Amino acid sequence: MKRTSTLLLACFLVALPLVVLLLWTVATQWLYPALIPQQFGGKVLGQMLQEPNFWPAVLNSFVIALATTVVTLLIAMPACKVLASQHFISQQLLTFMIYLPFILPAIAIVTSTQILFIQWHLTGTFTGIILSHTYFTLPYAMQIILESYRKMGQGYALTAKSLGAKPWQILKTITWPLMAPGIATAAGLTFIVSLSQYLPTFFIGGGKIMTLPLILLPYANNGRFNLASAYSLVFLLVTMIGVLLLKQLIGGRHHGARN
Amino acid sequence: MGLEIKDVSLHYGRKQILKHINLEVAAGEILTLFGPSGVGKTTILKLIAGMQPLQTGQLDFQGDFSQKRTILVLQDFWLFPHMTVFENIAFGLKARHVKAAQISQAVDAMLTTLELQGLATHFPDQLSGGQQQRVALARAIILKPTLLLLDEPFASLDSSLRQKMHQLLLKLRQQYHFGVILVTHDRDEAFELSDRLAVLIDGEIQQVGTPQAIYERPQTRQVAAFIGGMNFLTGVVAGQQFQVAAQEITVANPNQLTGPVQLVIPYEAAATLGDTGLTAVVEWLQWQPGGVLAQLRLGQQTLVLTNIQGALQPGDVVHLQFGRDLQVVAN
Repeated sequence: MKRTSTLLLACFLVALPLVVLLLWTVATQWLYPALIPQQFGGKVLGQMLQEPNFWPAVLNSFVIALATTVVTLLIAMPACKVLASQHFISQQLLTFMIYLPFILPAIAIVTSTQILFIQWHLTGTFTGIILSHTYFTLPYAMQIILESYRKMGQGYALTAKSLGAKPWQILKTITWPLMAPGIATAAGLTFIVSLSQYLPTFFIGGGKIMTLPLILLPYANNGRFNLASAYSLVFLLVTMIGVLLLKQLIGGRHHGARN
Repeated sequence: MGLEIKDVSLHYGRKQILKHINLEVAAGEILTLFGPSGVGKTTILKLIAGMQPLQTGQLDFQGDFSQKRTILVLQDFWLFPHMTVFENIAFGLKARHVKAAQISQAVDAMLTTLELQGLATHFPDQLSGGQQQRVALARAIILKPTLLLLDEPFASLDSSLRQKMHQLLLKLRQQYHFGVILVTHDRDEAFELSDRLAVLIDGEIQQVGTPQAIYERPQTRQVAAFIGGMNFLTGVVAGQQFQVAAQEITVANPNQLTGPVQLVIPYEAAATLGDTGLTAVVEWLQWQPGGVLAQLRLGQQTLVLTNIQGALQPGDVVHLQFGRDLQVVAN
């Protein structure tokens, strides 16, 4: 009984803000002190869909987040493989070093990156945005993947090697399937973090490349709650699609992993 | 035919892990690397298997022997948890792109040999410790290795199961003719399985020989102490004569030591009572399944023996005769 009520409370707490977002989206008039909107309609949704930047923003957000995820994993996986098995740097120091990027304020990093990227002609390009996002997603992904490598240990790969498997066979048949749950989590988190980036997209993209946060934030700041709510729901939908897609892609059989 | 390890040394930074290791293992032989944990036994196996690069020294694979036909089985088995028993055993053949029909035939034969019938579709976490061990062996033996490297293979099994696995390993060796380098710190296991033992302490090979030779003729005090169950009597040696508590007995002194040394007498050394011999006083007796455990006093020193032929009473003065010359080692 107690468990059921706790569950219901949890559901309510999660659903409440979503309901408010939904109400804002379909309201055409919602004035104080009414608890629910006085008038409903599809005006806000229509306005959002007619915005010329809407579909490009959705598509850009999705593509950038997906590409950032791929780049992040390509860097994090080999790096973590080496870091997990080395004995030169203590694992605590390593954790500290991985979190170092968060010590500096993001605005300082973004503005100085911008200067560098201007010289390299990377501003206003997808490559530039993806690289700057990767900087902010790597610590999350590295921490999760490093932990997965530590937990897996080296025994499986060593055994596979001794049994005559080539490195790519080991990756395909042993490391990837065993690490899949960890990699999927890292990928999902990377996708979410990249999707919600505002500052690097704004500075490095220079306004040429629109993403959902670039449209959403000004509306929220200017009190246009109905449009901001509509965009938030779209944002949520894109996040869910991306995370589920990544989970599905990486997936992997999962049977009795070693503790 | 076999493998010769020539002058292999290894260090991590300033720390010397292995010092001038020289060893050879012949076809079909079981050589045991015996020593306390953390002395580099596993490292030697990894070097031989090519899992770790050699820094100095050489591995000389002769005849049928090669690194490719050397398989390392790590401690704790490391069965792939996401693969069935069948897939685990088939792994090496699959990596070699053997045809599916051949693989299935070979795996079936292995399942029968190792009494794993009916478990082909099980996952490792559904197996008992003994079954996991047998899958790990099957996965290696199916590749027809000439040399099997076993790192503490039976450490996680209970003692009755360990006995059975020892017998199984000896049977498999007879059937498949592979040589084995076995790493263990378990004395009974080392004595039971080995053709030869190499005692490794502090990264150095202290002594190589048959189990009996090592037990009866340990070269150093360290070796004797690590084997365990040994009395050390302090005395003085000159040539073959050893003096202790105003007595003199003939001993083996292959290293031609002189002056103060230790006489090594295993607890289980067979002793008979005579009119002459090492004179000692029986202090107390305790019954044990393997025979009576007697503590004796010899001057200021005590001696524990479990294999004395003849009736003893506390307080008796006895003259102990050992069937062989006991060995002295440096202090």
